[in-house]
Amino acid sequence: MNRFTQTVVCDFEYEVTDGDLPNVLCMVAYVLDENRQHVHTIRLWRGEFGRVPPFDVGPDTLFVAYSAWAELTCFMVLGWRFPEHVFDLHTAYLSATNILLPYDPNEIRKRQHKRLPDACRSYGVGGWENIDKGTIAKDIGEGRWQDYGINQVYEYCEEDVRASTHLFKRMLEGRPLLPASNLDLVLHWSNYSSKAVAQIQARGMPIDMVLWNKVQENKPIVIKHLLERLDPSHNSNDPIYTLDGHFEYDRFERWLAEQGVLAWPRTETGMLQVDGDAFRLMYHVPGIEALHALRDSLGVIVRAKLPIGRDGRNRPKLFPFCTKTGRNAHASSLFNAHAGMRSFMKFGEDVTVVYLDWRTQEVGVAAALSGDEALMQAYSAGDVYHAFALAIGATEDRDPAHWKLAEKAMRQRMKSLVLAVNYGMSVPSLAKGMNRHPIIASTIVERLKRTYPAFWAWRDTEVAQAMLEREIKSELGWALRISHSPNRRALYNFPMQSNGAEMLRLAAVRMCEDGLVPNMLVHDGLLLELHSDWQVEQAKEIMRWASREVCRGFEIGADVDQELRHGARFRDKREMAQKMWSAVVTALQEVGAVEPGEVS
Amino acid sequence: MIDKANLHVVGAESNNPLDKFRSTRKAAIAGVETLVAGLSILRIGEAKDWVRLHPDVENYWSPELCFVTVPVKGQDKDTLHLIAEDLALAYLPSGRIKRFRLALGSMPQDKLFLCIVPTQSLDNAFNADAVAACERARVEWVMASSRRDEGLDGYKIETTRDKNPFDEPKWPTQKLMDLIVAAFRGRMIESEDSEALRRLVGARQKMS
Repeated sequence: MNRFTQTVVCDFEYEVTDGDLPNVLCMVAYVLDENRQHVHTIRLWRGEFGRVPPFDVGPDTLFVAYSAWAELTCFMVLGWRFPEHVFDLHTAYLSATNILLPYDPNEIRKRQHKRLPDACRSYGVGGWENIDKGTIAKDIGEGRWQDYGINQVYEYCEEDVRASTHLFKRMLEGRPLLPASNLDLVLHWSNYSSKAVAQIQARGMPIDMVLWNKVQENKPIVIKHLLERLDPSHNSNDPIYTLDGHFEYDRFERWLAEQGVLAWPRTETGMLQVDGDAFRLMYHVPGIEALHALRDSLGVIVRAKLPIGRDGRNRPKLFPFCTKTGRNAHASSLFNAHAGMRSFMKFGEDVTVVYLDWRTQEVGVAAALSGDEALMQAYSAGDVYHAFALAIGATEDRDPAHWKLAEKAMRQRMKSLVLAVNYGMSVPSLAKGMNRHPIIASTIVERLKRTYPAFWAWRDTEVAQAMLEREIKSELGWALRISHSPNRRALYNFPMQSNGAEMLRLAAVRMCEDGLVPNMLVHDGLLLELHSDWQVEQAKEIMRWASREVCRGFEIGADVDQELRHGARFRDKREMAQKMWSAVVTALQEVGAVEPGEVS
Repeated sequence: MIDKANLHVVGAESNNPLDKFRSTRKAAIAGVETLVAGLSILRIGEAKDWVRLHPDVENYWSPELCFVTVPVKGQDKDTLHLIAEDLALAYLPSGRIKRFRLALGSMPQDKLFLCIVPTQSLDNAFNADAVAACERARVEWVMASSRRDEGLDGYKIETTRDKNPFDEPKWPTQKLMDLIVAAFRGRMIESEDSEALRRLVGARQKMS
């Protein structure tokens, strides 16, 4: 039975430049009755938009769009109230096609597109054959819609609405291999993926544009300075980086060999793995951490593709639900670069900025969902890394505060260890990551198994059950379907990641509803520009509430990682981040672009 | 890095066996030559394919070395460790110490490995046949298959139907010792403090 008396399927066309908010051009909406039959069409062109939407957005209406965050961003620009119920077709499609494919090293797997035409093709909705969507979309976005004329742009827009309408109906019915959409779940998810995401993306992060422009004007000297300080091969005849800041794979391979690094993670094709995971695994090799930092930083400076609007705000895309676990796959932000680069963010005098994160979120989730009393106790004691160090016999210091200060390196190792254990890392991989003999890795695993037996049993049961049911789900229903030979490690980690994602979504939606719109969401953290200490406390309480909702009443702590006042600059606390930022500032000082002490 | 001076070997042909194991240059430069690291260690019968061994016995067949298997829960492979002989003799029962040579081998298409060449119990048919197969593999492609299914001990040693069915192996220029060190990286027992030795003698591990 359709609980909505009206359904509105809608699409906007707009001009937009990277980092800016859209300049709305037109809108087409199909209004459907309670039987989902087309009743009438609304077409509006720039200048015709009123102060309220031209259709009801109350509780009896269902608003439908593909990647509805874009439509709701147009709502924001137009000053319209958000619809109460949103069905985001993109989120529904991601959910229906969230499948862990079999592991096949011989297959070169392309990232599957999940755009409207792809969704329509999956559901057998035709009609795309004669439209060159890519070109028209690009031309409209870049302001060349006049080349087509109003009628053709309307036609193009309406084609999306027509297809979205068919797609919506088919999603509710389901197709072979594509389960029928669960309306309640999609509405719940869409609160996040459309309403919250639209607001968060529109908010963005303020960039110190004066400094950013100075770095761009003095790019060669900044790059030179960073290379001198951080490229471990810099003084050799064969440095890994070119003078203009490009990483050379062959030189890196030669450098590794020269350093006697014989073991480095490789891809299935035998190439050196050069992603973040590989670098992090090899941090014990001198120079690798700095090289990793350099790789993550130079991309931002050299390519300078950060989407920054005319108001100086970096507005990245969050790509909600675009990972298998339901986490965001955010891109093009300072949080996608090395932590040192985040210091390009500088906030206004009148705001209190906090970066809040859940304390050891994944361990907390594991403790709560496994019901392991020992693990919950270790978590609640405040420093789970200390508990792990005690459990494996790495320390006899029973004072967590003292241990945290005295054993910084060990604490760091414990962090990696905890992650590895959650991932179900094998003994050989754990040994390689720790740079210790497999016997030590094996002893650690065995001791942790004895200390937290319920967690270990739960983890195995979860995976066994998933293999039987061919599906694994988060507490609130985000599911990953399983092919015939899944990667078991991906399954081991799924509960921690998917429920961490649930927590973030719940908190983000609630914060947006309460008027505390985050500037950015990052894995298990939120960046917020607030106006009072009371709001900071409110945001923390929302995070704790979200954790209790997901973790069956168990509370995951919310920590203040950064608190910035009086126009302060974002400063990541980690040593390498400080070093990186200091190199940037020193380079600018050397060329006289900034005075000593001018940049905090 | 491993201090190769601590490696103790037996049965070396030269007066100072350690000389053979001292690397005089850095690892091969990748890009100039493919870096060979982490070769498998196989008996000739375990290759289950045509095998050639390096013809230069002096430089690419090791002297007899000492090994021991160290059990690690959670790790099925790579439990064989190279152990300095003085440590082996001091701490391990003789029955636990394995002694054999390693020779650089290749299967077709340059699939390199380190081949176990038996040096003990040569009256055992498997060992005797393995040595014979290894010797032949210096000059021609050989396949050694166990005859256990026939109810017999030893290996059936076959040669290829055609004389040169595969390209000659492209042997690396890295020294054998460097290849062995790379293959046994993290699995060389060189001091009393070694985690692997502590496991074998039942000593408490240092976890920090």
